[in-house]
Amino acid sequence: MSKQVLLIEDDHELGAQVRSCLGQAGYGTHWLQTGRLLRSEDLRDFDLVILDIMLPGVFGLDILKALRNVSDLPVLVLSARNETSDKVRALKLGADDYLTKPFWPEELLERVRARLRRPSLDRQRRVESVGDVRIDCEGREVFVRGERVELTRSEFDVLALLAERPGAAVTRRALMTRVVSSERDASERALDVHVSRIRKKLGTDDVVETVRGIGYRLKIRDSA
Amino acid sequence: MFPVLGTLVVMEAMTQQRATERVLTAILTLRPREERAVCERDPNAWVKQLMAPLHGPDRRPVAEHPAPPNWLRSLPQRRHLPAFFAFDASGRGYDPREPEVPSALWREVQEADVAFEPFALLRSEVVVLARMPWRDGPCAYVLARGPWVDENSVWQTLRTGVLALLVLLFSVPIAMSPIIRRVRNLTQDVQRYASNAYEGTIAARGNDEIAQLARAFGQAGMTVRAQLEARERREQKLREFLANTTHDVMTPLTVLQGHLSGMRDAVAIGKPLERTQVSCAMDEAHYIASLIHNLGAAARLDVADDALELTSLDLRDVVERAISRHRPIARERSVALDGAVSADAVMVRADLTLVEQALSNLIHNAVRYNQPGGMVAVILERDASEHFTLSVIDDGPGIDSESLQLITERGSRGNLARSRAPDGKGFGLHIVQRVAHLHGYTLTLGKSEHGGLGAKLEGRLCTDQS
Repeated sequence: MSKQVLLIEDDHELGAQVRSCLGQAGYGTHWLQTGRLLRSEDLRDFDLVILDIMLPGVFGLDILKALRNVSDLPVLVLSARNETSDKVRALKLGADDYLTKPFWPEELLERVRARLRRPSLDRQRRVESVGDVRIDCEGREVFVRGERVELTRSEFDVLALLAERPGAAVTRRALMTRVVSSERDASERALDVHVSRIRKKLGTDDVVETVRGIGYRLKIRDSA
Repeated sequence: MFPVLGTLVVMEAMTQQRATERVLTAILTLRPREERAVCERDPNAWVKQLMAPLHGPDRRPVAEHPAPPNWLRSLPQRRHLPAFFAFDASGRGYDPREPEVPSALWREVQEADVAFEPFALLRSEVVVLARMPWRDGPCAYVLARGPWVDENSVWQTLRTGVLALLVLLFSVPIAMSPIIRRVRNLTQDVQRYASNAYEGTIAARGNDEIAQLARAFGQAGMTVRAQLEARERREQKLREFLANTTHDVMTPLTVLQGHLSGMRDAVAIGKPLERTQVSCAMDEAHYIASLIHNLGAAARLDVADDALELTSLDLRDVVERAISRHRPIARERSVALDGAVSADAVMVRADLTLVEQALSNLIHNAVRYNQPGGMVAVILERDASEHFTLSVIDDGPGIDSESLQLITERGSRGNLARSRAPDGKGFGLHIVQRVAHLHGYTLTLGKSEHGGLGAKLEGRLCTDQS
């Protein structure tokens, strides 16, 4: 079932654009054009709230405060004011993120995905799955389409470090510091060789992605 | 003075009344019991003889004698003496000239044996009603009515008071005139000072209270002047901000309108939209947004150097937001924009908006002046101790060192500092430099290992989570 978003925005044009953008990305959206204090039953069916803090009638931060009293739902605040004090106040009242207008629809989507992203890492066993690849960090095993793949210690350490933060780029320096530095030939070239071998053994370049200027990343697929 | 004078007169009159009451009370109450029989034989004759002590040895009234030797004879040389009237237990009198006794006096004498009429300032006569020691019979009560012991004393008090008042009325202005003159001069100086918008000073000679007051006015004026100047500066900056915003936004807005018009015309004739036209339109909109944010930041920075609103924040969140703001336009320009942050929190005490704007400017410049297929990387690292490094590197054309020096000085470029061509990045970089300076960060600009510009911000972490 797709994720559901509660949008509280009084501007008709902007609200329609946001709803359309979220809909195209696969999110269900319920749009409130007027602000009011929300109760826990109002929030039961939603996964995220997008709240414009400049609403006529009810002060947006009051809505945020009341919401936080009854729910831990992630809240993304929209604001046309670029004032530090407004942002700090919103974050202190429990907003998870804020977006200052003007913004691109893609930017909004990226922020929404960031708030809704649930690590597929099973915290009990630290298992990460990317496509056909399954990485068991605790058991130090890697499976491709159910079949175990043999990796060297260093190769697994590289993969495990990337799996700690799936989707986030990790610098070459961090990888070298944590993994390769213990080797006799610790160098960026050695790191690149490890990555190349990992890709070959996994049978795909679609799991460990090169991030130019930075290092590598465990690629994930965002879905609504 | 008049209230004081009035009080003295009233007090003197009350003193006279009390003194006379005591004298008459003494005459009435110090009667031996043997006199009852004398009274009952002839009440009128008896009351007349009550005045006997007030007569001289020859039985003539004291008024005919020279200064009497004792206080009972200290009555003034007056035309009339106190009169006495007897009443029986039921209140019946014997003298047809007797005055009507107020019922209040009768009630009071039942309780206290001696009753007095209330004080009246303008009445110099005293009435005393006393119950005799034998308490019944034809002379059970005696009423005494007489003038004050010394009625003239009130007049004397009044005369003395008026004289003192006149002396004061003439002498005080003479004594006070130098002070009054100085106060008037000070008043004129203060009025002149205020009308000159508190410029200059107020002359203060000496060390007395008036000189101190003059100095206090001067200090207050200086404070007001400083506040007025600060407000004028803020208003001037606001006017500049509005003028600059209007000026700087109009051109890219016009260009944007041009692109949109072109796209509308293409759609109208069924022509497919060119990707570059859409990209250019998005670029202009993005530039306008960035420009407005920068102008706001510049206005804040120009008002006062201590305009920071410091709060504890995690730079990782700032990097994430700044990257996501520019990713759409980077994608449109086919420039790869990525970031890597430390696994651990990178906490600093900073102004959230200014730091985010500074990073945003670095990213914006790196994306905007790169070529399709290029890359921009944002890297946030922290060391084991107390420092962080925030780098923005690209593989674009970069900036030569000479230009780098020039474009970070916005003032040296005057109005061109915010122009879009050849490179509007000077304004943004100037803001980065100001923000770094205010936060105590080190900003290094140079060539990156990938050939383009490398910008590095280094600073201290904070341990305080508040």
